Amino acid sequence: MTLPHAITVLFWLALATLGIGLARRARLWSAGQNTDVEWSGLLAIPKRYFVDLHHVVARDPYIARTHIAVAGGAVGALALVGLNYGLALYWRPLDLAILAAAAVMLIGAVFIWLRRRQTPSRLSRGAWSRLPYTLMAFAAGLAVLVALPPEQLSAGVAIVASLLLLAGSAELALGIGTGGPMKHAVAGLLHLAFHPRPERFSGVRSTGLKPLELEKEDFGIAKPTDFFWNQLLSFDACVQCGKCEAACPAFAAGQPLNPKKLIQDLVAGQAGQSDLAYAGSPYPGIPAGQHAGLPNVAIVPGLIESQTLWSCTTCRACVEECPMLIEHVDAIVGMRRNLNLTQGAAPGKAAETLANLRETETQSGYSNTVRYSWAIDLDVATAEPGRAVDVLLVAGEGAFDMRYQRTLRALVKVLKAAKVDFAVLGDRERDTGDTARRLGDEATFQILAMRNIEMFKALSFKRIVTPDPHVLHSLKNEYAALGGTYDVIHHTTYLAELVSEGRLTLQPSDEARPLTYHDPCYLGRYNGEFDAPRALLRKLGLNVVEMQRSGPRARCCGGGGGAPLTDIPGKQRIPDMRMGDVRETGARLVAVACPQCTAMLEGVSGDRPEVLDIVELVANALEASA
Amino acid sequence: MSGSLRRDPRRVADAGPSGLRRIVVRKRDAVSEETADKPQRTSETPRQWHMAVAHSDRGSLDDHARQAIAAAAILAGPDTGVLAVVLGELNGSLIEAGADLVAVLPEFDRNSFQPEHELAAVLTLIESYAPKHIFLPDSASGDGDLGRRLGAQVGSTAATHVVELDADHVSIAWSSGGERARAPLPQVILLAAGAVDLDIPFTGAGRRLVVADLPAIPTVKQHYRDLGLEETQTAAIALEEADFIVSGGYGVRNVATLEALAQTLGAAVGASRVAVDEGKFPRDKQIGATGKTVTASAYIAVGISGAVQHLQGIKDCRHVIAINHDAGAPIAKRADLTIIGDAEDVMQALIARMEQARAQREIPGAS
Amino acid sequence: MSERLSVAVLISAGQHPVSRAPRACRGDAVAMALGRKLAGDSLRVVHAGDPKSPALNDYHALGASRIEVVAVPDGQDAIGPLAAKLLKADVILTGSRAEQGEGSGLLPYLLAHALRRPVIADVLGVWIEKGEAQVRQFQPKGRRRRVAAPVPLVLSVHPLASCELTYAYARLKSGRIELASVVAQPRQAIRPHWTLEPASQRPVPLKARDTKDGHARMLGYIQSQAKGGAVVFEGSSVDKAQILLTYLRDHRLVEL
Repeated sequence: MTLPHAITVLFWLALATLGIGLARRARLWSAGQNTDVEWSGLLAIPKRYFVDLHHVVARDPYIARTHIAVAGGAVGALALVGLNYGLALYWRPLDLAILAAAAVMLIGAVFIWLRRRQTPSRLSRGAWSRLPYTLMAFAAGLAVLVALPPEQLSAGVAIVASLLLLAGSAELALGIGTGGPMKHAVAGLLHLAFHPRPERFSGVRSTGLKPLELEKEDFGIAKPTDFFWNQLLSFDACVQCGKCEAACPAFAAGQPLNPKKLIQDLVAGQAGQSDLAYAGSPYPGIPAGQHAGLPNVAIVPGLIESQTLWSCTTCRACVEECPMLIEHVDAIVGMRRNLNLTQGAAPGKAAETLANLRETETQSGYSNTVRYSWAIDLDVATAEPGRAVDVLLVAGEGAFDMRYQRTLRALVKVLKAAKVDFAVLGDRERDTGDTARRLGDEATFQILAMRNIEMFKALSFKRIVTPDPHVLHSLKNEYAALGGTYDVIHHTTYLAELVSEGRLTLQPSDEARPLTYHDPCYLGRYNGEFDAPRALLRKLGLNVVEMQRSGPRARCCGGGGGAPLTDIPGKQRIPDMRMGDVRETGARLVAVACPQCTAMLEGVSGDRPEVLDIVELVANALEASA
Repeated sequence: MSGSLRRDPRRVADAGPSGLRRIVVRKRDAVSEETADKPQRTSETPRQWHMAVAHSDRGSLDDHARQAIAAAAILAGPDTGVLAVVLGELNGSLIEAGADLVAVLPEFDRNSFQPEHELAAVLTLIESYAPKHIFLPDSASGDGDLGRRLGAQVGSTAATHVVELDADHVSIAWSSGGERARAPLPQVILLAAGAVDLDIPFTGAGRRLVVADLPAIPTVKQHYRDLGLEETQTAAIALEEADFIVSGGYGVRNVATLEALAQTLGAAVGASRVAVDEGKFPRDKQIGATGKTVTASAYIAVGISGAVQHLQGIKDCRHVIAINHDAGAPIAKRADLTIIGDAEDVMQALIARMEQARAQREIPGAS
Repeated sequence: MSERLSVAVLISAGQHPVSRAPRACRGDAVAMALGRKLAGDSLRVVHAGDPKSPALNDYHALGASRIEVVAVPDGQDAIGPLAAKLLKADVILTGSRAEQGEGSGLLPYLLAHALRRPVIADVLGVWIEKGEAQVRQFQPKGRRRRVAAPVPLVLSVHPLASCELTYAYARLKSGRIELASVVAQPRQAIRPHWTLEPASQRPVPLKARDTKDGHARMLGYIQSQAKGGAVVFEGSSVDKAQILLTYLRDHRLVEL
């Protein structure tokens, strides 16, 4: 057999291996739950890859370029090999094209290898350390074999090059079937096609949580096969780059959560493996190698400890960072749902909070009748059926907090100054159920949501304004699935709108302290509002010194997802780290836009910058000018 | 007192300009001496009786028990005598408490559990004196239990957790306090703490029944075996239960001193959130809105400025004492007594003073 | 556990003190959890009252897969029917007091009296051995007592009894109610005739008629006004410590 024929055989063999491997892996995915997917997603792969995925990868230009070189070179080379050898054309000009593609791939692989020489801790080792070598072997072997006509190649060189090509081909072809690193290529592309939350490709933020059908005893995710099949597929796309790990506030705080490990555990679970092969950072405090899973066996505690799930602040920083567009947080909430609904698990103060929500419809056990006590002297209208208003102001749980009541009073003053026709909900207001949902108590969330939807039906209003991003998120994004669709905006968005419409005139603030702005996760990453708060601060003549982590990549305050309630111990506290970020900018004042962030950052002890809601700064400026 | 320059530490306070009160030089005399010559409530020979029953603790009755006797006396007409039944030893008299006749049953003790025997004794006395009303403190140290046993046994009307009463009615919190319910005075009345003002303008005859006067108490079969009290370390008491708490905040430099003080006072140790965050105390010691809510009789806040959240956690504490270097701290507005000074020095001095007082048997007991 | 014990817990419809929303009575839920520790799934959960009470859902969620309801109409005595229902139970557990209505805490005593059984209150833990129940009993100020009594008996459980209460919605969905009919019984004589009124004011403590003259009253007023909020600035640490100690002693906060 001649060398070209050997390459032909190798090509088809590799393709068959890949096909068999894919079929085997697809069997694992298909054990997941059915869900409707758009098959047209397959056609959208190029756009999703080159635009959406690349948008994330490009944050690290070095890796973006090397990946383009390696992946582009490899795809090009494979396509050309398929053409020239697969179809047995054996055209010499095509060989040169293959050579060019292989050379590009080789250069890329060399740069990956260079970067790998000082591996950051977030990267996994193990099989992933092997990858630059096998990729270089593939590219180099192929390049050598096609560089010269076969007859000019010495036998020794040909044998060495063939062995290199064989090794490289094995990596590429066996990856998907054996769960090797190259699994990400096939699974990743299919994941782009069948993403669990395809709306993200049209810029929609929010989550992919679907209401559980509690009447049908759908109690969330207990075992790997309870995930939707496309979620199982998405876990297989993970490249263990550890961007999520680096962004995760719980991991940094030393709590037993690492989003990367979590996804890898779910990969191990669906394949019925242990976490022995995992070669990245473990969950802090929980050594790797002691857990294993099976597709149809409960995930907690055999595969993942419950502490890991309760550490999450649901800040979605991992989702924001993931170049493979995996959505970790929905998986975590899905597993929390099962723990809570079937076992009543709710660590720390979470159980008490959930009981309060069931029994008082507030998180802290106060009466709804005192929710607006802070407004008693402000002459604020209370919404009544049959009396139309432009704006409904929904205060949220912060209304019971004495510190946050200052913010709410400031907001009322500003709305009055802008002559907005608004009313508060008074004792009609109850919790939106956001915290219950994040803690996995879907039942309480749905009960509260249904009551609220019924309550809103009786009232006549144009839009809802709330200073609480958690209220914003649940009313705007999550009530729709239960039949409540409203025009809900955050108070900063609304104030910015009032300013741009000329209904609210802002004088420059006399605030002289250097200032930074902390993006609330539920306003930014969940709802995409990054500009309005900054625009307001600009209008006040204030210069925002941005923190290194700001905007979509802002670090969480530690207050989301019920994390302050579950209070899983770590090495340090998340708000302390965030206040460290604030201090780094030299700011003496940090503007916030969320009651949770206010409480968490104000809870930082010692000498620290002052925490003020943007609307407090606006109200102060109004007062000074009046 | 030897040194004439020494200030009298018992000086009474006076209001200062900021609404806070400063200790000023003496201004007390008139009030305390005035109680000495109170008239006796009645001089008539009793034709009927009110009975008050309570356990004593190391020879004396606590305020809650005295409230039961005071209630029996205040509601008694001139022809009604007040019989105080003391289960346990009693040192001193109950004249000031308002009792006319005192039956001391020293074979009992609040620390021992012999409800059938106690019930038999009380029933015997009830038989002899046929009291119109029987008052007990509704406490967790035996009297609440005994009162309920009595209620179930005698089969007449009984009211428990009584928060308000007068000659015509008793009131209780209905449905955990959402409403109140009133009823005519029942025979057995278990009083919640604080339902009676102890400041009574009269005394009782206070005659103590000698053993010979007491009716013979029948022996009854004991179903219960008292296996005794468990040894507990005061420091290990859950904060929610503790009656005395010494709590440390940001201003505590030396946690060991605070722990020593708590030990000396027989108090549990608490902490503010700041001190917990600093790692000086474990998380389960945290008191406040995000920590534990406590209901101690005495709460000493050392170096705690008193953030709103912390004050929320101690809102039900009876006596709050602050040791702080800053008179402007919010805790000073809440505290019944604020000592301005260096926390470490004051704590050390207090420990030394306590030990000295104990050595001189000024404060016997607590070890 | 060697013997096959029949353990039953009595539960009542509770309500939240602020919102008035129906819920499992906290104390009864604690008693139920203690019962589960003792008897596992064989624990009988018995409710006297309205079988349609929404509060029963909470007990399902807290782990009662089956609740036996003795349907006692409002205003009728529950002791007789309950005693009949629980004749065979070796250990009857109750909470310390109900959240609805009188909440007198008398029920375990009345039930024990009706059944002629011993009753122990403020129970934190219980161990049954050789026909005897050993009980760890709550005493104030962190003290604990051990008491034993023969089975059968009634135990009223202290709210601080340590137990794990988990509320799981799935259990709520699968819980069942089992109805037992009852013969009407007259209201027990022991209960006072309560009339309800709004709790608008704080309760007024009973106070003896004041016989003081005006001057004494004024002095009393000054004294009570001066009681709180004293601030000590001056003096050495020793002086300050003495003031503090005097305060503690005057208010009987240190043992005398």
